[in-house]
Amino acid sequence: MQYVFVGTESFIGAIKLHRFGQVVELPAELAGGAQIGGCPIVSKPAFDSVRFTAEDLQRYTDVGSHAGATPEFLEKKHRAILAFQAEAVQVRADRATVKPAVEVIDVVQQ
Amino acid sequence: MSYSNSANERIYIQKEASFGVIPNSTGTPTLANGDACRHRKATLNAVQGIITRPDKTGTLSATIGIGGRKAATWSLEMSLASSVAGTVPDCDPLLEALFGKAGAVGTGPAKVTYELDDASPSLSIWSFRTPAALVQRVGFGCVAASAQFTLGQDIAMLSVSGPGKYVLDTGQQAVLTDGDAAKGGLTGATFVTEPSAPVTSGIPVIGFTGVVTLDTNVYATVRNATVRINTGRAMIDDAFNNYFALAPFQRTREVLVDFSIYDDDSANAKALLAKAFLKTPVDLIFAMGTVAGNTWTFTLNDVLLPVPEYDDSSDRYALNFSGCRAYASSDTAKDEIKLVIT
Repeated sequence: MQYVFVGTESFIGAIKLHRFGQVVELPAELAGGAQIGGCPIVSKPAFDSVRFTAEDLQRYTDVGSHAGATPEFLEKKHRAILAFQAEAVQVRADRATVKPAVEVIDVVQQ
Repeated sequence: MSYSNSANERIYIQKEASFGVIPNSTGTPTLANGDACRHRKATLNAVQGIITRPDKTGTLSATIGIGGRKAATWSLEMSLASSVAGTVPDCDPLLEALFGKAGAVGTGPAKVTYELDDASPSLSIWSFRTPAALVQRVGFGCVAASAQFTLGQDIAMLSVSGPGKYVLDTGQQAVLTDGDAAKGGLTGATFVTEPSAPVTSGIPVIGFTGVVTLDTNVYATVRNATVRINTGRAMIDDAFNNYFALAPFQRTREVLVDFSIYDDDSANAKALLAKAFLKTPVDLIFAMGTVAGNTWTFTLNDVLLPVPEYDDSSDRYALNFSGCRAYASSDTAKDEIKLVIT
């Protein structure tokens, strides 16, 4: 499944994400874990729904350029980040059902 | 035989739901790629004393000792780094353990806020080195006793240290029996393998960028600053029938800042000096970084400034304020310091 990077710099194993709008192909399981871990990637359909223009993605691929970006671009970037955060919350909720932890019984060591 | 390069290490940090219990699912660690956190330096050491029998033997030779109580010490040092506003940084568990409660995600603008609380959250800290055949470790029941944010140099840094319940390693897991407190709730003889695709995010904060506001005035002449938090947390390590420490206690915390500014004849500098001598509390704000999503703002309330030291060790005179202590604004507020990442 395709995801799009909306952050500054991240690593997922050997994959380096450092360009805004960088598309990466990831298994959903791995992508979900990355999202929970704070890696700002958003599913391609959600990213596309923000309607960045080709010019946006060409002009602002370097995050350093965002300081001088247009308000319109920054608004779209904000919506893309919100989409990532919403997906991360959903993944976290989906994975919340876990088996109980084993507690420690402080036995006296001989 | 393989050796271990210091750089061939990754750290993973997990919040513990119960003190001294490594997060697990029916005894198997629930360690994930997203728990990774880049770091510069890590120490994770088990500690065990030797109990010496005091009785005379009739000679000057000592009686062989017996293994005593077990504990751990740990420390981590890393650059400040966050990725996007409103998402917690990789070091979030560390900040929660330091401040005493979870960071609060907020809006308008998007931010994560860390405020003080009187709880003592604990961590499990994993160290994986390569090659994998080396001893791998996990420190559990790790609490934050002291921390230091170092600002002003090229990369803003964070270092945190404290005591822990114990450090389990691959060798011990293989030989300890399930249920032994030294296993931290894990079962079986096999240590977990490192997650295959560690996730880390964010660029570092350039430590000499940002805005420093001292007593409502913005200063461009700050040379460096260090924010220190001594949480006062320590372990109950003298309980009867326990080789391991019990859940920690906490003394009164101490939030301190040291900073140095170039001396000048401005009205602002003179006013700051006057408040140092009169012991009038001031608020200090260190906003580090300029990149959206990676700006770390430390707000220190009611800081009593010490009499500064005049420093002529470099070419321009400086004023060094050392050990400035921040205080809560009321008996119920725990607002000596607040960290907001925007």
